Amino acid sequence: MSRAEMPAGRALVFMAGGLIVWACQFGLVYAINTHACSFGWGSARIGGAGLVQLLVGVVTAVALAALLVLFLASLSRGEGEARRDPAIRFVRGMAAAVAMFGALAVAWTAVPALVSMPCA
Amino acid sequence: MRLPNATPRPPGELAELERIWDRPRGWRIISAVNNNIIGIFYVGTALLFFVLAGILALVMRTQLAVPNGGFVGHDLYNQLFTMHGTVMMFLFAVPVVEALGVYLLPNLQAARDLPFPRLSAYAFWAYFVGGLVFFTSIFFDVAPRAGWFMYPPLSSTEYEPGISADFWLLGIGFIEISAIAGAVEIVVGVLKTRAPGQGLDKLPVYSWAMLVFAAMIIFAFPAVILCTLLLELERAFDWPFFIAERGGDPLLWQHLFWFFGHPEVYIIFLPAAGMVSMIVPSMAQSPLVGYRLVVLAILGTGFLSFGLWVHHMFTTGLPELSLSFFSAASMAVSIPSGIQVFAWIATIARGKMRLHTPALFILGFLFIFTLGGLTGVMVAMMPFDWQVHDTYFVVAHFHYVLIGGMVFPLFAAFYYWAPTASVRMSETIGRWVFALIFVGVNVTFFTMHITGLRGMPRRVWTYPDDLGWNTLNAVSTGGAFVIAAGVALFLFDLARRFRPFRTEQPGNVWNAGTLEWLPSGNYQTRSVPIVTSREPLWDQPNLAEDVKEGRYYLPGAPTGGRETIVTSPIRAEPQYLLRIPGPAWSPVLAAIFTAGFFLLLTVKLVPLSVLSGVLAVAFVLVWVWDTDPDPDHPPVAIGGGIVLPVYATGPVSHAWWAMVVLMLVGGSLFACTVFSYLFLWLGNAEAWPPPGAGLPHPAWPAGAVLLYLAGAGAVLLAGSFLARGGGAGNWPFRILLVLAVPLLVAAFGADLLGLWRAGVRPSETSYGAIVFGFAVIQGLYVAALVVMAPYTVARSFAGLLDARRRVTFDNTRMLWLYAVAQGLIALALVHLFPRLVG
Ligand code: HEM
Repeated sequence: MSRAEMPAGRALVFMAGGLIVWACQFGLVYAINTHACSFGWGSARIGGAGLVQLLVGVVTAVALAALLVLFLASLSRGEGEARRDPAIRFVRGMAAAVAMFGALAVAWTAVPALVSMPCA
Repeated sequence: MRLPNATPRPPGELAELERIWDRPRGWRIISAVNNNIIGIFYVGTALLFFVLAGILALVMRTQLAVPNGGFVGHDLYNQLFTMHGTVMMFLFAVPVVEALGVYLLPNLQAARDLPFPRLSAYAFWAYFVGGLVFFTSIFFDVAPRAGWFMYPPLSSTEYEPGISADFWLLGIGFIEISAIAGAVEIVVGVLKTRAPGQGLDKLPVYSWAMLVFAAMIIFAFPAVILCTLLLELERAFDWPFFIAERGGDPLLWQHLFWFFGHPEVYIIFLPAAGMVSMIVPSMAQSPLVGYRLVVLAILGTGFLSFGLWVHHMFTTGLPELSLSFFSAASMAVSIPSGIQVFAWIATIARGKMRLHTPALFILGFLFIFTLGGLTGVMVAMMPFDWQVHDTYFVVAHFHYVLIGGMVFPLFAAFYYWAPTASVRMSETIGRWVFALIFVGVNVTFFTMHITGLRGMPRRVWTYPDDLGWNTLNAVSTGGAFVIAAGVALFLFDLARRFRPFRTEQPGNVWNAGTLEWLPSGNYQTRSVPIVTSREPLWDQPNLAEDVKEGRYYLPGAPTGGRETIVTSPIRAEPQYLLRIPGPAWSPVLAAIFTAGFFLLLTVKLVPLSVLSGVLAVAFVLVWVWDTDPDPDHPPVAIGGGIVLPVYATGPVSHAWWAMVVLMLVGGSLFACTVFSYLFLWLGNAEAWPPPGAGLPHPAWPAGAVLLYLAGAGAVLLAGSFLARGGGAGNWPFRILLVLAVPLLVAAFGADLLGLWRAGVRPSETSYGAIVFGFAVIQGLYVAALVVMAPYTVARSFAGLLDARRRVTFDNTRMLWLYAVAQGLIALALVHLFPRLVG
């Protein structure tokens, strides 16, 4: 095996990273909602903003930050052979595209949770 | 470019290769394991189930052709739609795409076989036997009747006291296990057995689709396995997971089922889309437009589809907010599908489409699937869904999606790839087949949209004659028979011309660009090409000839047995030569007895079932006994100066990857159990644990933790003795490994005993049920390890395990550590969590 090969497991996770981040955000937003409604703090407010919206906002912000990190990491082009190797370049390009796609999906998930009333 | 091997090749090399890969003759072909035989069996069986389920559909349509029909009664009708739906989804749709994967992937990647041929054989035979027996239940009036998604309480003992629901639960639960076995094979196959040079950037789109497909199975199917397991526990032992009076919740079933069920639609669709992405470029004689976008879309679909599970429960009264974002997710997932459709259309536009039968089916697919997508967006709008929920509009919608999305691509695939197995099918008949099916489907199901809008509910066995549904239903039934005529014509042509397992082949009849069109035999290609593009046959002149003459890698069988090149997952560089096992009866017998175990359990023949289970395990052990070959074989030259080792352990090895995938399956099953626990807790938070079932004294779980850790420590220590080599560590190794077993069992037992003494009973409340549910899951691992540890020690005694030849031990250790980690998390959840929130 030449040294240019990335550790395969890591490369695969990296490539799908943007969507993994989305999956986490989606799961958390769903959990926040369900708990809020089950325990009746759906309409709780902190300083004018709804608690649920606030939590969803925080989770979304963290997710977007993670996506940014992923995206920046995918831009670094590596060294030597890895820089030229088409398969490795493909993995990086894919990681960047998936991170962008993930950002869209994260926003798409967050918007309805932010604008509508929980537990209505 | 200089090719790796010089010609002429030594005399006898080809004959030797042919001898080694020769198929068993006569009825012994049942013991065959290589993918081009098992793959054909597998596809054929799936087709059989398509026909059987189709016949059930015809019976239903005959009944519904006229109002107040008297062809079948209501009870039989319930069985019919349940079986039709179940067989189509579980015995046809998923298996058929998996089957095609088993058949095609090694061809597309120029591997000699998949990495675990006996596992494919096992998966196939388990499915074959289990599926057929399951199907016969309809002849004995014991088929399930609660609909293909088997919602409790309709499927609970109270409303379904007989064994019919058990048939479903055990039958389907078991067939899912076979699907998972296939998925493990596919993941490792796609990642590790490719033609050298076929890096991820050159991976055929179909391989991508199958990779994501298999990953989705790995994460989605455990959910359905869990819910079938829980419901079966409820039915068999009265553990109230879904019974509201005792704190259970029928919605738990719906969550788990749809966590699998919605991705399921895409699990079926993705491979079909992958096939289309192979066929379109070949028909249009032009590379696929937007390769990267298509791969992105496949990944996107794979993930987003999991976000849709609640989509199916729009009318169950979930809080509005969660509904609105699932609605958003429903629409989002149509975007990647749209990307793929545009890529195909652009490819067709750029090339010059030849309208052979496969191309016709692709066009039919685009038309029908797009219509299905449109009605899908309609039902994703909540207000609309409330109107049409459970009417024929929905039946029409999902048949458009399923038939358009997978049956049409599948027919395209049959016609397209048939020449790789036998001959090109008749073009004239093919056009008729297409026309009949296309017209039939639209007549049948387009009409149903209107029937639905006029208010006809689904799943009714008949209807009165004054509701304005008569003509519509008659038309639908007529259409169904037109479809049947098309399928019958296809079968006729198949019977007339298709003769698999022969060596003569028509060659690259479509002038396609990918590797499955290289000249091949049972050993696949004579030599394994170096790939430098996505369509090597278009871009690498003389490739077919050079491969056939043996000028590329591995033109013979240097170890004297079956072998394939294992490559690195990203760049596809050769890593080692994998020696793969040949034909064997043990996987077949193991599969038959596994099926026997589940089916005998259904009819409550417990002792026989246990016997069957023991035999199944025994045959699995026989089968794996010789799959870890001698590591001392010297490295072999495959050509071009490349010398490969013939043995590998650790993260480069295929075994390691398979174990990791298996752990992911386990992790996913466990995560679903945790979800179930938390879900039940949410519904019973004020009494968790309920009165009368206290939490055990902390000494119990603490003791369990210590025992788990001690056992794991013994296994790790055993590993370090094994690593010393030279035989000196053999005895300490064996003793430690044997010692670890009682520690593991004691840990497991301590937890159970503590719970029992604290008054927790699985049948009293949902709390008790789910707590013991964890024990059942953990018990599976404990049982597996109780078998694996002595097996590993036995290999040591037989001289088949040492510091180098250690795959068996590595696997046992990995599973052990996993089981301990899972056990610890479960202990924390069961014992700490209620104390923290209570
Ligand atoms: C080929 C022609 C087909 C015809 C004529 C047909 C016909 C029918 C009919 C009449 C029903 C029962 C409707 C009701 O009473 O509610 C039904 C239900 C269903 N069909 Fe099909 N079908 C066909 C193909 C398929 C295929 C290919 C699939 C899946 C891959 C499929 C999956 C289902 C499912 C899941 C149900 C729902 C069962 C339930 O309600 O539990 N069908 N179909």
